[in-house]
Amino acid sequence: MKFRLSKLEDISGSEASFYSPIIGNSESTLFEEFLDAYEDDYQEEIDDIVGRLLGMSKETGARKQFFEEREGKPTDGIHKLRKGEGVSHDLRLYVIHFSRGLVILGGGGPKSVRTYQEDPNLYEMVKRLQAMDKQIMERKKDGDLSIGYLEFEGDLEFNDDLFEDE
Amino acid sequence: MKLAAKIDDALEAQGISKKEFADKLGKSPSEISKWLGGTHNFTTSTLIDIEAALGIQLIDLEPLRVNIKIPLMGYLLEGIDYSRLDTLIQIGQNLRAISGYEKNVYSYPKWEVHTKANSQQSLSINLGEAIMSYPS
Repeated sequence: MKFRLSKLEDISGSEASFYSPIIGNSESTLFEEFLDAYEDDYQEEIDDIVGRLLGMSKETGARKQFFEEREGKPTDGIHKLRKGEGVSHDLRLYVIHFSRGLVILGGGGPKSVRTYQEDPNLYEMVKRLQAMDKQIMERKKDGDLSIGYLEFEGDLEFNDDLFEDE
Repeated sequence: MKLAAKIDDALEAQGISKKEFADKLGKSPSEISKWLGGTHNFTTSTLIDIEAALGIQLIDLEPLRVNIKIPLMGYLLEGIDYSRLDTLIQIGQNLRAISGYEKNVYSYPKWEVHTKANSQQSLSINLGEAIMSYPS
């Protein structure tokens, strides 16, 4: 499965940039698919999430404490956005956090089970992001991609099979 | 989220660890993590404690938005067309000048003029929404 990184200009700002992967020939990023999937049934949570992302990009930066490490063995950059206080449901959004200025937004969904591993949707999203994180870091190591404060620079098309190492 | 960022910046600038901060306020480190997570709704009392502990200002004295509605009574004079908007605005401006409020009012975002002639031949003018600084 191939992917490319697309910058989400509408919600990026002077303090943080958000990117999101487009998988294969899809026309939408994972984050846009996440919004499309849940904006009707989880409007309060989606509004809260988008509002917080805008706050980060325009004012505060995407500080690490605004995200949480997931359960298990977090040896990679995969985090989840903190659950909004006062919102009804735990709608999880998984991300790859690089710095206060640079975050890749993935997708997610409502968490109704104890751990994300028990939910096929959340588990698959985390595995996908892990595979992407690995490829991005390898490309950085090879010198074909640089990770700036607000931008990725270099080749943002990834043609390897996402799950080739599994 | 902005409050969390301000607190985080102050801790970093003053070299205070989250644990030290928690001890200072008699809170648990997990409570501090929650505060810094950007989703906590702080009470005023907590913000005052944090301000004192870090020597920073978190509570902004935001301008208080008020509606000023000044009724104009008995100003109907012969020969004045009260249906004309510019006439009513002029009356409203004169009222603003004599009301004593103008030194505190720094913005008149809109003029909403409503006339209502009742049986006592009175006219009321709604000056619309004004923004007054508080405290003055």
